[in-house]
Amino acid sequence: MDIRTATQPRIATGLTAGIGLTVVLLTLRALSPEEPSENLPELVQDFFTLSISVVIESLPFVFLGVILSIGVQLFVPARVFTRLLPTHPVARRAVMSLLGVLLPVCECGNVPLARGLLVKGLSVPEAMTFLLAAPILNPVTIITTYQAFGWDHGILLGRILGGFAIANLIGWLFSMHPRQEQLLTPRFEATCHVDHDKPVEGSRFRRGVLAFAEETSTMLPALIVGSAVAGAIQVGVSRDLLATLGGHPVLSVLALMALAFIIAICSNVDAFFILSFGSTFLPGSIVAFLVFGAMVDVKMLALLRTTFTASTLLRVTLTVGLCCLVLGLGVNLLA
Amino acid sequence: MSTDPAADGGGGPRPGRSRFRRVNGVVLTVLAGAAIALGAANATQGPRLNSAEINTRALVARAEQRLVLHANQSLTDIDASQVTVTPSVPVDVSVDAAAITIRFQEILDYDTDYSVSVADVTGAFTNAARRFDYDFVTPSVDVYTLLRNTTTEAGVDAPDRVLRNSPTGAESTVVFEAPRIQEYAASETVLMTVLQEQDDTTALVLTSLSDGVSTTVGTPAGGPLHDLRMSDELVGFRMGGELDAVTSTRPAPLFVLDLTDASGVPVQVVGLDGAPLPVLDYLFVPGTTALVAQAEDTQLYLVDPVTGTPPTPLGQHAELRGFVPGTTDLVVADPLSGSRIDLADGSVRPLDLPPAEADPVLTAGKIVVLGENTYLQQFDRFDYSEAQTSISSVLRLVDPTGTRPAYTPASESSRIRDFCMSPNGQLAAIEVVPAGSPVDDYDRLPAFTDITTYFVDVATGATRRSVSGFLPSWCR
Repeated sequence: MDIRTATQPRIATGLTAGIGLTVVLLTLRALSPEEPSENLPELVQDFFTLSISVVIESLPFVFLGVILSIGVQLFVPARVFTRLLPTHPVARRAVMSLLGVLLPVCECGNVPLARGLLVKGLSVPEAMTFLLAAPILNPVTIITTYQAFGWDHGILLGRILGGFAIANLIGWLFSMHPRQEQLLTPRFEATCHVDHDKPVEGSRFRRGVLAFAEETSTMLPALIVGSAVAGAIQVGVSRDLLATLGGHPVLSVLALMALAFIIAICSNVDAFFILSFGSTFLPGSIVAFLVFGAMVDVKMLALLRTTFTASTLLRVTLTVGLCCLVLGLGVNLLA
Repeated sequence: MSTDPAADGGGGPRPGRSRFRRVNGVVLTVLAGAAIALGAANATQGPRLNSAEINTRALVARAEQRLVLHANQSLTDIDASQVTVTPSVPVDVSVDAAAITIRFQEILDYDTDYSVSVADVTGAFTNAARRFDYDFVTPSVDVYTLLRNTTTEAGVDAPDRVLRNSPTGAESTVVFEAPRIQEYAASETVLMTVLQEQDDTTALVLTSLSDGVSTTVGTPAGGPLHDLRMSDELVGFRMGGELDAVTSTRPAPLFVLDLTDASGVPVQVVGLDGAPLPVLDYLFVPGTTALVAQAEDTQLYLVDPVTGTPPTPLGQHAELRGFVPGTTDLVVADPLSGSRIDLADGSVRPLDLPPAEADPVLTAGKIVVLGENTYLQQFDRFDYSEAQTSISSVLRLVDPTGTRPAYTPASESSRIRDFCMSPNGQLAAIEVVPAGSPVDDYDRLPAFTDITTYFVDVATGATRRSVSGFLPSWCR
């Protein structure tokens, strides 16, 4: 497939559709009453508020991730990875899990970046290790978690060490897969092949713009769908119910993992969000929230589905979930 | 995209995939097993004490302060009988989810090790029980005394000094000195002193207790400044005043200086009609910006000089006797009875104190009310058998169970000049004058040259410390 010829009509179509949609929305806004939201039921208002807040919170990181991804694809030669990364797979994944220290983006921004790394030739387990570890092992997340909890109850240490261990476990697990291309969606797998097989054409700027259009047109619908699902579940699930479970040493962990999955909050700010639950929920449940939510949530799954097959994501979710449950219960037992 | 070198493991696709599934299954099984084991261990373990919230400064300043113990899981209800506090203090207990709130019904003692033990703390979900133990130490408190030095040092008149003392420790430091200090008052951050100048005028000096820097404060004209008192941020003083020959009182205008007001100008307290109010006596209400002033006609007014709201009349009473420690309950005295006015709601209750049992030859003196039915009273014995009348004193604690000695000076010939209570009602500061001590030469607040102030634990009668000087800041 020729990227240039394939994407140009799509861009034109997308541009026309975008302009048309904008005109329709502006016309609707002009014709609608001053405060139309007041006429909506409270649940619908909450749904829009919560969904849009997830989109707004994630959008800068998605764009940052896309830009970093394109930067890696355009400016970082493939040989850099082969030269700089250790040759032993375990050591390579350990280094990849610490890459977030250099590229501090939220988990939603890591998806396009991980796609860029895959296109550039990194293995699926390495990209997956990076994807899961980077939202936790980056300076912004570590600092905000420290500011929220300090060294209390091992929450910060549990998050850092737990995040590192789980990401590397997942990386090791998927390194056992004999045909790693089967872990990827056929469409993305084809993109990887195209990128490898096709000679480089056009200026870097032109290729960057095209890649940006390609990535954002893949990421944004997934982000919006994921955010809408997160908003809908938050409206549907009672937060009081979650809070009453906070004092149970086992159910509190499950409750906050469920909350983390539902609210899909960025790892850079999730520590401050959960701080308000700190007095009612046990420390293990807080750690489980901070680790599980940074790795897997509804929005992330929607974004990851652009790249990985459903069965891969199911395995990741199940394994990460069990790891976080063990981590949370362990902290509750010891802290 | 590359494949991981470990991916194939040398086998073909079919055995490789089988191996992947096997490893995946083992990992998931191990994790599930670990989760079940940890879940079971969590579900059967008793609650643990994770953290505690306590403000020890508030504990020695007010009653009804709390200690919150945070457990690591939700708890069942706890009864006050499960809580043991050593030294003993009555408490109320409540449980909210994983937090136990222990409310101390009384003000705690200074510089004391407390142990709190909660027996049979039971998890709401696990039904397992454990005992919680928590220890804390209450802070000490500073009390100031005035040492009028009537001697000479290196051939020159020694200055007067204000000393900062720890009533339960051993430290005393000079925080201010000047040739002639008439009186002083102190808050946590500021020391105010009234200096007698050579021309018999007075000057008001503000000294920061953090850096020791002193500044003279401008005061209105109208005679010498006296009756200096302080609350946290307010300074009160009276100026001038003529002696009323009939009532033997000296009504004088009352001024209040707000230390948070950048203008630094004292404001005169006014009456209901907006005219300056000459007062006989006044007291700041603890922990507030209000004061109680006694007007010429003995009418009491509750005044808030900061908000400037009109004064609230509290009724006519002969004498202001102070506040019950740790409360805003004002004790007033009339010729035939006393009353207790709760300034929080304005309610007035007759002061129904048990009578003191004392030798008829003793002369009853000052009373300080400590609680509902408890008070300290001074008794003096006058001995006219010798050419010069000698006076000896004793302090007695009176409660419904009887009368017992609270403090007796070591020397039978010493007498008590004055006494007052610490803000928490634990310690009495007692000024003791030895026999034959000469009177100093101050016109206002005259005292004796060798006064020692003793700090006595009222509950035990133990003398915690003695320091040189008089006029303890608790009495201001």
